Amino acid sequence: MLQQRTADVPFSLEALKASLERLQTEWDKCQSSRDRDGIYRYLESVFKLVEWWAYERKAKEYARQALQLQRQPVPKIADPFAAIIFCTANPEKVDFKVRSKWARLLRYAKVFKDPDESLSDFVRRRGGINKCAARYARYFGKSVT
Amino acid sequence: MPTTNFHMDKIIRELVEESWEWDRLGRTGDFVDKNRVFSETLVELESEGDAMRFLDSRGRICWKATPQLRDYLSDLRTDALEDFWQEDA
Repeated sequence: MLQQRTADVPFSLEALKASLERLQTEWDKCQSSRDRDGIYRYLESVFKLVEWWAYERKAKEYARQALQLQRQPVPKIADPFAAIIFCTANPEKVDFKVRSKWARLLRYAKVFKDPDESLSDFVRRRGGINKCAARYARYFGKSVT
Repeated sequence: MPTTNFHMDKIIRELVEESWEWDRLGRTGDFVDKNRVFSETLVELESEGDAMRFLDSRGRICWKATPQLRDYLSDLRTDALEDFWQEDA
C-alpha cells in the first residue's frame, strides 16, 4: 500500500520534548495509582508514539534524538521502544531487564496486534506481559535493547 | 493546488481552522496557502504539547488533542459553568 506521509508537517525538537514529557506524566500517573491498567496505559502511549514514527520511517532517528536529550552518558539503546522507555520511565524502577521485556512485548504487539485492538486487550488475550515478551523472543530471537 | 488531507479530531480541527481564518482575515488580498497554515499550526500545537500524532485504525496519520489540552479545556468549561451558576443565582 502506498503510504501517505506527513513530511510537510515537520516533527520539531520541541514536539519531541513535549511527547517525552507527556509519556513521563503518563508514567508518573501509572506509578501513583493503584490501577493495574496504569502500566498498560503507559506502554500503550509508548507504543503509539513509536508506531507513527515507524510509519514515517523515522523511529530510529527520533529515538536517537530522544536519547541525546537525556543527561549524558546514556547507554547505547538501538531499539526505539526501549529508548523511549529509558527516557520516560524511572530507571530506578525500570532496570535493563524490565525495559528489555517491555520492549520485546511492544515489538511483538507491533507485528501481531490488530490496529483496532487496545494494547491491554491484546496483551491479556495473549496471556500477559511476560508471555508476550517470551513469545517475541521465541519467534524472533532476543535482540540487543 | 491540491489540498493535503489532514486528519484531526474535533478539538484540533477547530484550532487549526480558527488559525486559518485569522490568517485569511489578516491579509489584504494576498494569497494564503491553507495547507501551509494548517501545517504550521499543527507544528506549533505539537511543540506546545497540545496536539499529538498517531496512526488511526485505518493506518492514517492523524492528530488529536493531548491529555494536557483536554484537561485545560475541561477546567475552562468547569470555570465557565461555575461563573454561569453564580451569575444566575
